[in-house]
Amino acid sequence: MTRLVELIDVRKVYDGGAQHPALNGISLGVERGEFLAVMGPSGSGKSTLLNVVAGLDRPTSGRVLVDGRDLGRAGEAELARYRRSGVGFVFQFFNLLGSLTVLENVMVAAQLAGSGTAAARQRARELLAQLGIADQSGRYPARLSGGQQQRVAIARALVNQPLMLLADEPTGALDSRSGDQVMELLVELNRGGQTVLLVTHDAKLAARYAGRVVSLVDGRVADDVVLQPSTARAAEVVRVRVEEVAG
Amino acid sequence: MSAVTTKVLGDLRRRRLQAAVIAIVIFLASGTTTLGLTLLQTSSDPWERAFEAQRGAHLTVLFDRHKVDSQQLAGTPGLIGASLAGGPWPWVASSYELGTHRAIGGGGFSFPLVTVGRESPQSDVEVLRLVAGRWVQGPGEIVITRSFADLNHVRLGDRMRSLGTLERRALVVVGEASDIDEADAEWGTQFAWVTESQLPLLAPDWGYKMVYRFSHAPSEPELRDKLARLHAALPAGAVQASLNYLLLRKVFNGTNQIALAFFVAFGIFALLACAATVANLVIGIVIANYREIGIMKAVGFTPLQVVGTLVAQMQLPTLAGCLFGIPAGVALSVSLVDQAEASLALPSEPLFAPAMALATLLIVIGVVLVAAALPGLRAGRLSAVDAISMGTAPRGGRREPAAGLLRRLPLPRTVALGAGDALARPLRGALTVLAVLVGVATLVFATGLRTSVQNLVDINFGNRITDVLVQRANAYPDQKVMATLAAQPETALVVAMAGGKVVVPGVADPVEVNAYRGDSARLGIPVSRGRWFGGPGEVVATRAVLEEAHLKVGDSFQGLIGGKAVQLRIVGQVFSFNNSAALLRPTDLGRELEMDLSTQAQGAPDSQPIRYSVKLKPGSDADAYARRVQATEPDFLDASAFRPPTVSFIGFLNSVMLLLAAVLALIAMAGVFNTMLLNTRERARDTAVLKALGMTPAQVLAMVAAGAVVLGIGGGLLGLPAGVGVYRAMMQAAETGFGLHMPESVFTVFSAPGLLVLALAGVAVALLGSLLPARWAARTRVADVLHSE
Repeated sequence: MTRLVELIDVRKVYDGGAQHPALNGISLGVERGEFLAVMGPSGSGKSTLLNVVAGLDRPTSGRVLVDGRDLGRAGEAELARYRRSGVGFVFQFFNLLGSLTVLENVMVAAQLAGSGTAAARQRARELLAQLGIADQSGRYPARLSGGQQQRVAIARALVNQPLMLLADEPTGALDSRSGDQVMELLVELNRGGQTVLLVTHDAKLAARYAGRVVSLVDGRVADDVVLQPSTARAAEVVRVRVEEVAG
Repeated sequence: MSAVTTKVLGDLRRRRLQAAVIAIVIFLASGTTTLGLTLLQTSSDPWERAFEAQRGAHLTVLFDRHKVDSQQLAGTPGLIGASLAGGPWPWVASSYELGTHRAIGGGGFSFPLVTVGRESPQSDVEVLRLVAGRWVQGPGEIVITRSFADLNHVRLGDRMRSLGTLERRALVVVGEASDIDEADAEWGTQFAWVTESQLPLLAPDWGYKMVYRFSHAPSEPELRDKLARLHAALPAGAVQASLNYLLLRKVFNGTNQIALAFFVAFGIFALLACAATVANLVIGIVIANYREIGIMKAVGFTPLQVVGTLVAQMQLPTLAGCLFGIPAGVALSVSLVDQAEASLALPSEPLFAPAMALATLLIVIGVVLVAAALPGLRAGRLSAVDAISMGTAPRGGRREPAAGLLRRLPLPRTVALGAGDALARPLRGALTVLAVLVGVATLVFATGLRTSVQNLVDINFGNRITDVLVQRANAYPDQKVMATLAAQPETALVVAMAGGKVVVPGVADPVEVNAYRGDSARLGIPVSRGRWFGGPGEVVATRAVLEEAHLKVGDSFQGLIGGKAVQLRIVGQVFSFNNSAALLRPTDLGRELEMDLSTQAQGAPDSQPIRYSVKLKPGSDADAYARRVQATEPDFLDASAFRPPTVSFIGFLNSVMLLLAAVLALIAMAGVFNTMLLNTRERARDTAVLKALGMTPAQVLAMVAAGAVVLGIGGGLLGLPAGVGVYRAMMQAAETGFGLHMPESVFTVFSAPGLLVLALAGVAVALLGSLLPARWAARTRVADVLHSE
């Protein structure tokens, strides 16, 4: 595996928050094809880390390199272009566009990346079929269950074959069964070579599905564990170590 | 402080920007409305005051001194029941030269002076008000009207030469007077005064003028009856012409009425646009704050209190807007009324109509109340539970067919998305389109009206083929003029015109005649019905003649020209806005007949033209030609390149319309701004998602702008027929009010490209209104929006 993402001493300070930076000198690497889970309690900086890697936010200092590109030096337009095909974002609350159908929600990401309507439609249909929700193509998001909506969001995230998939608490708004289904999907994608960066507060989830778990506490990397194929013992190890550091 | 007050103030703090938008919109609308209402109250007042102050004449009559003498005339007041009278004063229409070889009137002898001999400005009727200098005291002195002096830059002490006789008597301007009978010098013939003994020496064809005043203001039929009695009592042909106060008042107030119509119409438009903007804003607040409204009700606000908070947060900025807008409207109306009063030599009086200011305040508050209360009632009727659940339910796929259709347009994705967003909330979109519609309709209406007035001026002044206008003094022979013109190599066509009179059965006074020699059809005088005359015996008449004589195109009648009966046939109706030479007849109300000189010669064989319209060959220098002709006889010829004079009323109209159209455009822009602000705030999450997916800031801007364009196109396209409709209605009202029948060319004001430009103005206004909200949306911080959930 080669390194896809490199964070070098990244700090992020919000206005008035100099005493408690959201990210406090993080150095971290993500390999291609890796399934990395970022864990931590509320306020630990995990969402900020995701935003920085996604190009949604800029670091106050330090460098963020993605596929060799320094995101800190990129302008807004360049970051937008990066987001089109560099990352696929899956949000906790799905964030589908309510005025578009399922198919259109997936297509719009492709069209923003410059794909023609026909090609975008074709690709969207393929993905929806792959994710088992092709029969929902003509419906509006409000008519779908949470799990279905998250599948649509995943399809949208994958439509441009991004370098990596960023998932921010993707199961947070789902019941356990739907959540498991979504996680199984992400694992399957990862097995296919998709780099996945997952943010979660759920240690069990992280240990069960990720290949590596990074724990953040107060904006710093508290722990970085490469896991063997998930076992209950591994989950327990991760949980204990996070508690130790947080305590 | 009550709970409602606390809530209202808190909401206003939160919505400062929108409150400011409302205040600005109301400022503009209330100012415009105040202007209109104040002018409405005062428009006829200055003329009435001046008329009474000067003991104006209800009836003015000109007599032929060869048919009736001054002693007979002295008995005429009793004949017609006049309570007061002035005269008989000698009068004559004469042309004057000012300084060295420069004729008066800009374009030649366009405005001959009706000179009256009076020993004093005081009289039982028609008191003349001196505004500069003194009255004439002996021979060689003349008093002119202030309007005439201003137009032609004549000062006290300047010398004028009467060209009515070969002696060319010189007169010194010793005073300026204001006369209630005078129309503005740009439109109408002006008076001048000399001593009674001086008058007959200025021109041989002088007559007598009498003015009458009655104990009560007579109506039109009563005035006709009195004239009929004069005709009956005096020898035939003794009465040459007449003028009544009703006509003068209509003329004086004419321009004011047009301006007044603007202001009232603009005020109504402005209020309509305001109502749409306010309603839009309240609806947006209600939709965005269902949860808050539910909490208010849960806490204990009554439905009325809920509505009250919504209404109050609209009324407070409304009051702020009125606080500045109403005084601004009053201030603007003062300057307009001052102009009118100054022209009548009335002292400027402080103009404040408290009733009108209060009326404006109440109207504006009422409009805002209705616009805010109606949508607010919906919020008030909701139960607390319903409101909270509506406010917390996830935004579902509310499907609006029109919006969906627009989103699927074969356009770049960002543009299509933005276009669909414009109609995602149909009522909001419709109200915004209404605001833009009003703005565009105003522009269309204003453009049409302005062009129509210009067309009217062109008809009045613009003989379309005339390059050079030549006028001769009576003493200079017609043959010499024709010979001079024929000798110029550039001369392509000469149409000569003589004046005269014809008695038409059924018409109280002799009718003014314009008799042409040459190919007069090429002058381009508009014929509103029938055709131009083609041969001897054929005439074209104004509407006033036809109506008074109960004739129509195609009828024949026997007219008296020079006392001889001449058979005449009406072949056409001509529109005349002309103020002709012999007497004030300042409008189409003007009775005129157009005929060939050969027709007039059947009764008055000595008729001779005094004006010559010259058409030059292409490429000729009109100024050089005029100078050359002038040089052949500097004293008795006036030759000048013809240019329709600038009428200051047009300039005034342009300024007013520009101002008012700008006001409406600003209001429309504010409406669009408000809507786009609501839309972008509601769609902040969607915009953040799109940016997360890779939409650039420029694309976000384009998306928002696309929505504005859709609204602008809607408002623009609908505004066109609305504006044309209002324009037509106003012109109809003007025709009826003035008793005009305007030729179709007056209404030829719109062209397809022109209308397209006006429709695009709606798009431009919408785009400008969306600029700031678009920029703010483009700057959305994705992380803040998405992670604030």
